[in-house]
Amino acid sequence: MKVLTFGEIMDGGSTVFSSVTSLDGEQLIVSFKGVVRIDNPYRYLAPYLGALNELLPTYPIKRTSIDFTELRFCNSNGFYIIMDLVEAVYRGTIGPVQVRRVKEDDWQQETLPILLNVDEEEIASRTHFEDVHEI
Amino acid sequence: MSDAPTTDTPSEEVATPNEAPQTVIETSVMIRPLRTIMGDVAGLLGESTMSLMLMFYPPPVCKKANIVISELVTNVLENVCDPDSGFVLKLAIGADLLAISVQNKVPPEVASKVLARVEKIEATADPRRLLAETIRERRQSRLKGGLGLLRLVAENKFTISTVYQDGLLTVQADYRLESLP
Repeated sequence: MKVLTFGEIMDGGSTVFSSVTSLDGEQLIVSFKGVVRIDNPYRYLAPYLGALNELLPTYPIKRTSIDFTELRFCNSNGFYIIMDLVEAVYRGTIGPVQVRRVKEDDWQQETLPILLNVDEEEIASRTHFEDVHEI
Repeated sequence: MSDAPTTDTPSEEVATPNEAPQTVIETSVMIRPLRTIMGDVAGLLGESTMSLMLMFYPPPVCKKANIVISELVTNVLENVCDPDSGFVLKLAIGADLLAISVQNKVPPEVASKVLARVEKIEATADPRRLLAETIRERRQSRLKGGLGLLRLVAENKFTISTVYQDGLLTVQADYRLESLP
C-alpha cells in the first residue's frame, strides 16, 4: 500500500484529526480519523485538498473506499471541508465508491449523505454505504 | 425570567421490580467573562459531559448531548457581543428527556435573527431537506454559521425553543428518549 498524501489538524501540539489517502493496487483508500472542531479547518487542510485535486486524476484508480468509522465528531464548521475532500475524491476517480460509516452515529447516517451529495444521480449510482456497528 | 425555557428536571421514574431506575443527571456550568476564553471550551464541555453520561446511558444519547453542547456553546463563543458577559450551560437527563440549554447576553437585533432562524426550522415539514438546501446554498459563498441549530433538529432529532428576556437569549434543545430507535 502506498500513501499518496495526508492531512491533519493539530491542537495544542497534538493531532486531533487526520485523513490519509493511499493506493492499494487499483483501489484508493481514504480514511478520516479523530474530531473536526476548529473554526477554520481549511487553515490546516487546504494543502491536503490541493494534493487530492492534483494527484488523483494521475492514478489508474478503479474503485474507492472512504472510511468515516473513526471520525468521532464533526461540528458544522467542518461540513464544507468534508464536502470538498469527498468531491475531490469523486472527481478524481472512476468506479464504485464504498463509504464505511457507523450505524449508530447521527451525523454519519443523516448528514454525511448530504455532504457526499448522494441526491445527485451520478454520485448515488457510484456510492454504496457499508454500515458498521460502533465498537 | 419566568418565561425563559428552563432545563426541565426529569421526572422521577418508579422502578418496576427487577429493573433499576434510570439515572438522573443534572449539571450547570457558568463561565464569565467570555473574553478570557481562549481554548476549545465548547469541545471540552461536550466531550467531558459525554464521558460522564456514558457511565449511565447508551452512546447514541451521549453523542447527541456532545453535539448539542458543542454547537450551542460554539454559537455563543463565535458571536460574542459583550466580552465581559458570560454564558450558562444547563443539562438534565432522566427517565424520558434530555434537555440542554445555553443562555447568554445578546442585543435585540441578534436575538431577533436567532428567533427567526428557529421559527423557520420549526415551521419546516422536512428539516433534513432544509438542512441539505441550506448547506448547498451557504457553501456557494462559504458562509460561516447558520447550520448548527438546523443540524440539531434535522440530524439529531431535537426540538429547539428560544426565549429572549431582559437581554438574555436562551436556546434550549429537547430530546425525548423514547424517540431512540
